[in-house]
Amino acid sequence: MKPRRTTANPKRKIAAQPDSKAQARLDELAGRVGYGGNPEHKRHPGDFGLTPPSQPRPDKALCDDAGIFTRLEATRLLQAGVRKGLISLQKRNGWPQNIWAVNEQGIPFEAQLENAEQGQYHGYPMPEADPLRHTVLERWQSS
Amino acid sequence: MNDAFFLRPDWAPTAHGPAEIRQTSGSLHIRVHNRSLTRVQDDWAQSVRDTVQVASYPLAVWLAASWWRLCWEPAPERTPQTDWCLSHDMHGAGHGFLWPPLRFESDGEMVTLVCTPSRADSHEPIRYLTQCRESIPVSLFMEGVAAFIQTVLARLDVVGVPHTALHLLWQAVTQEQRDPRTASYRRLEALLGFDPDDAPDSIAEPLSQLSKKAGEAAVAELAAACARRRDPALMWADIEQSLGCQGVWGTLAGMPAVPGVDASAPGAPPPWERGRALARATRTALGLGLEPVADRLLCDLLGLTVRDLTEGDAPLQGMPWSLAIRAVGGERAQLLFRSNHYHGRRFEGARWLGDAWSAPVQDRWLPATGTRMARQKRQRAFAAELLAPIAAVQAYLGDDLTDEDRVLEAGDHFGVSPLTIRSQLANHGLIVPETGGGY
Repeated sequence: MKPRRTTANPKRKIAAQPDSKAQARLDELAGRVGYGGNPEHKRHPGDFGLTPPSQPRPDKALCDDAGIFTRLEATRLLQAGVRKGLISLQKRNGWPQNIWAVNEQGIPFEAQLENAEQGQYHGYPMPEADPLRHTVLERWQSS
Repeated sequence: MNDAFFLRPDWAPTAHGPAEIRQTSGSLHIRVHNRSLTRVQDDWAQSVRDTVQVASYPLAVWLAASWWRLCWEPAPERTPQTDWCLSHDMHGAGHGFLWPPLRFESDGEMVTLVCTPSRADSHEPIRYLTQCRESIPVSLFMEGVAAFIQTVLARLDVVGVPHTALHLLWQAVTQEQRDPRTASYRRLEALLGFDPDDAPDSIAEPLSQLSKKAGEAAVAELAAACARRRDPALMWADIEQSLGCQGVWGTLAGMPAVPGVDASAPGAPPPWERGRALARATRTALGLGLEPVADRLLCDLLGLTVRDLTEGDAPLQGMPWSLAIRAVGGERAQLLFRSNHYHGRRFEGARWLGDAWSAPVQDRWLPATGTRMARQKRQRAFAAELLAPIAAVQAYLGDDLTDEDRVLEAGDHFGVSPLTIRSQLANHGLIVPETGGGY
């Protein structure tokens, strides 16, 4: 008998390009996601209101290096990623585990769900060697 | 602790993120054969260190989720696709950490850890410094990874974070490993290039059934070759077509009796060295010096006429393999060539001879494929050394190792393609390989 796991596959996978039926759901979801932030991804505190304001770690990708300094910028990017359908297949409590977006400078970002009750995310520029990076760029440009 | 390969965390909890991230944060040191794979230049501290500050939890999850593919799936023949990279490049662990640029490539016997230094123009605050390509037995790789995952699980239990996704995932992996039938199925899925539970029934089930007729090890080779087809329907189509083909009847029992090397013995040489050693022993037993293997001699070994060998049909043309199928209870074998070319057909015949010598008795099918599985590396090395031994190639070429005309002439002289001549030279370190190199 073929084995079957009860655990979900945690591997990051981008959902298929949305059709017109899915777009309405994505637009609604975009209005509900929020940006929390993680001080470990920030060299400068910006207006994120985090505690502590910033606590950058050199072994983590930093938002500053990709020009994201305000909560508004981060939130807009998050929402844009949802609208374009760059969300993960994996979900927790109905929220996508990951959301991806590309900023005006062409830098791809990944957001991680940090609060599965409220749909709050924190994000970071995708590391240069991340295998998913060019896929995110291609999908962004084609959508 | 496994000194050949380990991942060693030192805990220093942080204040942000979910509990499993916070509590497994700290420094991480990864080493293989005394090479530090986490050696970084830290631009902020203006120093070099051998550890990185990450959370071990997401890495442990990635290793557990990718376990079967890491242990068994070979690198593809062409540039790897994103899905393969997400399961074999440590950056697949994600979560915003700057993981080591480390790739794992299995050939079924060994796992090769390929570490690439960061680009000099990288804007990231740390730059990885190590460049290496180190191979360890699959068993030691599994041991090192399992020890790391268990260390992370023990940490989670101690700090009161039980029942995480990692606990469930690792429980699933260990249960699958304990059951031989499940482990065999998971391995087959991995060879086909699928994550657990993702292989469609239309390919996984028929392949499992085929192993009863063709041999489990043989089907593993076919599965790895099938993976080049992205569409599962095309994967099975290749096998179905092969099942319907007729080859020419010959034999694989013509090889002289020669000593070999037990691949499972500790410290056994890599597959290409075993293939070369077998070829040299075979040439000695056949009384060959530096001269080429004549068609007549190769045909005698294969039980074929010269016409069958050099001008016969190629029923598997366009397939990802050629096949020798051993008859039940006898010495005869059906030989299904893939190549229409003289040099290619001699090479295929030689590969089958080498494979027949070392293949499991249960394998009736002997596939010769283009994958980077250990068995295929051994086959290719055997065939190259049997037909164009490096000592003879060097003697023939003299100082003209890269002159294209001389390489073509050498190919004609030894009855192999110019590619085989160039590969022999590159694999013995006599010329720079044109591509990735290796068998």
